Amino acid sequence: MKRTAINLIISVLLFGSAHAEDMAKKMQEAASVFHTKHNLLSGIKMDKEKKEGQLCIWCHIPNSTYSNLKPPEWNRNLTERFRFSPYGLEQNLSKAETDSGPDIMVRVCLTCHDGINAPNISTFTQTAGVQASVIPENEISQAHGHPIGVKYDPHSKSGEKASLREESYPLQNWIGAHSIKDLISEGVIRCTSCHDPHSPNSNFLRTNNAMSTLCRGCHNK
Amino acid sequence: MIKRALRGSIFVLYALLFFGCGAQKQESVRIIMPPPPEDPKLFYVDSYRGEASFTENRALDLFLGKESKGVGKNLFKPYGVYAKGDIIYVSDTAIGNVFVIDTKNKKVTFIGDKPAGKLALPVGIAMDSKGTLYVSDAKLKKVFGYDENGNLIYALGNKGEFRRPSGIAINKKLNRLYVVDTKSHNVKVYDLSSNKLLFEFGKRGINDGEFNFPTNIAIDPRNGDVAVVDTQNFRVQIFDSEGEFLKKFGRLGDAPGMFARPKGIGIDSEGHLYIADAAFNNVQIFDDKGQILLFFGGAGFDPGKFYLPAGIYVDENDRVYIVDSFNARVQVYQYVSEKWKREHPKEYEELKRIGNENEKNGD
Ligand code: HEC
Ligand code: HEC
Ligand code: HEC
Ligand code: HEC
Repeated sequence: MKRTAINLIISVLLFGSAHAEDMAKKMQEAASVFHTKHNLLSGIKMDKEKKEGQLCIWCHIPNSTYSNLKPPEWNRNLTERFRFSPYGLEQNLSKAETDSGPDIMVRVCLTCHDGINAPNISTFTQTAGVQASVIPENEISQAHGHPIGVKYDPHSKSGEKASLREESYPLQNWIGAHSIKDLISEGVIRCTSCHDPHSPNSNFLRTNNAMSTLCRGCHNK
Repeated sequence: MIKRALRGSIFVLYALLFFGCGAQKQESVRIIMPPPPEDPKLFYVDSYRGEASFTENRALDLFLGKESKGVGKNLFKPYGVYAKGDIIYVSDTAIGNVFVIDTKNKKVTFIGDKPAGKLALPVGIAMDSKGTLYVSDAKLKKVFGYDENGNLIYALGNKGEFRRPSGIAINKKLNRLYVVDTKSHNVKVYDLSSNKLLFEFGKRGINDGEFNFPTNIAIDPRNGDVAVVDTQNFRVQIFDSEGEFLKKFGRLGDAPGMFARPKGIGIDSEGHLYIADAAFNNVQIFDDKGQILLFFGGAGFDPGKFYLPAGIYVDENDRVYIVDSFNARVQVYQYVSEKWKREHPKEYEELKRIGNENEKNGD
């Protein structure tokens, strides 16, 4: 079950095999991506149509067929057609149950959000003077103040302390989510819990955060 | 399928080696690439993550494939790397220091943690012929220079000069500093004796000689050519030392020779280019014509695997330093150059022997 869920996301991140219907809908939203900071061709003079065709490649790596690929010069025995897996696909598939790896939905973002290509999002709070030994075991980390990678569990001690709502709690006017369940498809908090890169909201938030609406989606405070 | 392909391409061998220092056992990991019958070209040397690298149990943890976080001050979100002799310099963009890892004396010190020359978001690292260490800071928009004791002795970047300096490299012969300015989409070249801007090259675009978020840079030790990773154009461009465009290679895609998020770059003494890709968690090696020679890595925690690899540097002895940022470590490899083979005939035979034995045992 979980495996198919992951497979789906991955096939989507490797363009070419996603379901057409979803894609068509998203394509209509393409206009909104066009005017965001994730249009990495903005500022370059080129055909608008051509530019629009490249709005999605920043995260969805085209999965085309290649002709006349030669094996690497130092390893000519490698005759099998080889494809790289984006964002650690093979790892997530082989370890779906134990899931000790950093989350794919965090890695996708961090390939660019490294402080050089895009704002540095470190997965813990302070930046200067932090002793790494202070950072908790198993990398429960903070994204601009919020923990990333934590389990969503309203009945745990810390979950109660954070006043987490039940997973079935309905969400209104959120992009790509009808209930909290949709925000935490693997059961944990990641970048895509709060952000939807296809969202027209400022900062790609899943819902406008005026009056902390976003926060209140999960926290009953 | 993927699994099989991986095994076919990379030849990984874990061997237990016992060193004869009393009762102390030490395990070591052997990774030799490519698999026999091809000649060995690259092998894994070690990994470093900070002070924890020099505590007792690390070798065992490493062998088990999950190093313990360990005590002390360790890398958290490293990016750039430079090395000289036994010392590895690594910038950490989250902690805001440069880690100075002395692998011989097993000691870690820091640069950029003192009030004068305090770093915020250090990225690129380079050293000139006098031993001054240069560090770019993408947040403070400056390039700082430090003496051997970590004292600030140099600062470059007036207000508005850089928008987001990142990768840097020094041509010692010409005494020039090359600074990639990611947000200005160009490379600025300074004369280190006069500190004057000599010229800059590149502007935003997709044509030859233009950039879309250039990030990392390396200089070919043979001829001074400058290779720039043009990250969001998914390619590498090569210029002569005067910034004249020579050639390019790479495009967006998931087959060998292609890139999705290319970052670090290093060039060895024979002119081979090593390029890390953060989306594929791998490193690809090219010749100077852009022909792919070898690729290795893939996502994971084990030695030989990467999560979000970033900067690369190749030192004068053809050691290859690869920052493995999400795994918070630097992995060190040795390129088996003709020079290395001449200087290490025994080790070279050993490499070939281990390879063939492993082949017989069927992986
Ligand atoms: C900044 C990164 C980014 C960009 C740009 C981007 N996507 Fe996505 N996309 C994602 C991620 C991450 C997911 C994984 C699903 C999730 O959890 O939101 C995804 C999922 C999808 C899905 C699966 C359905 C869903 O919502 O889960 C479709 C369809 C899709 N994207 C289409 C597009 C199209 C079309 C474009 C270009 C207009 C685009 N995307 C641009 C990151 C991106
Ligand atoms: C291909 C590179 C890339 C990827 C992948 C990427 N981003 Fe970005 N992101 C950028 C750039 C570039 C900016 C703009 C930076 C600037 O203007 O300084 C940006 C800006 C943002 C902003 C601020 C938007 C604003 O209007 O100020 C948010 C929020 C953001 N990204 C979230 C994400 C999330 C969440 C993901 C993962 C799903 C992601 N990004 C993946 C490159 C990327
Ligand atoms: C708990 C919700 C939440 C999570 C999880 C989260 N963000 Fe955000 N993010 C926000 C909000 C809210 C903002 C709006 C600005 C603010 O209030 O800080 C924001 C702003 C941003 C910005 C633009 C402002 C800046 O800091 O430069 C970026 C980039 C960004 N997020 C990236 C990420 C990435 C990458 C991750 C995953 C590692 C992530 N976010 C996880 C809620 C979240
Ligand atoms: C997708 C659901 C979700 C959203 C949206 C969300 N959070 Fe959280 N938040 C969590 C979870 C899960 C935890 C971890 C609880 C635990 O430790 O078990 C948490 C923890 C916290 C904590 C620490 C808990 C404590 O009391 O120690 C704070 C503070 C917090 N969130 C604030 C915010 C703010 C502010 C926002 C809006 C920007 C926000 N959260 C949005 C799910 C969410």
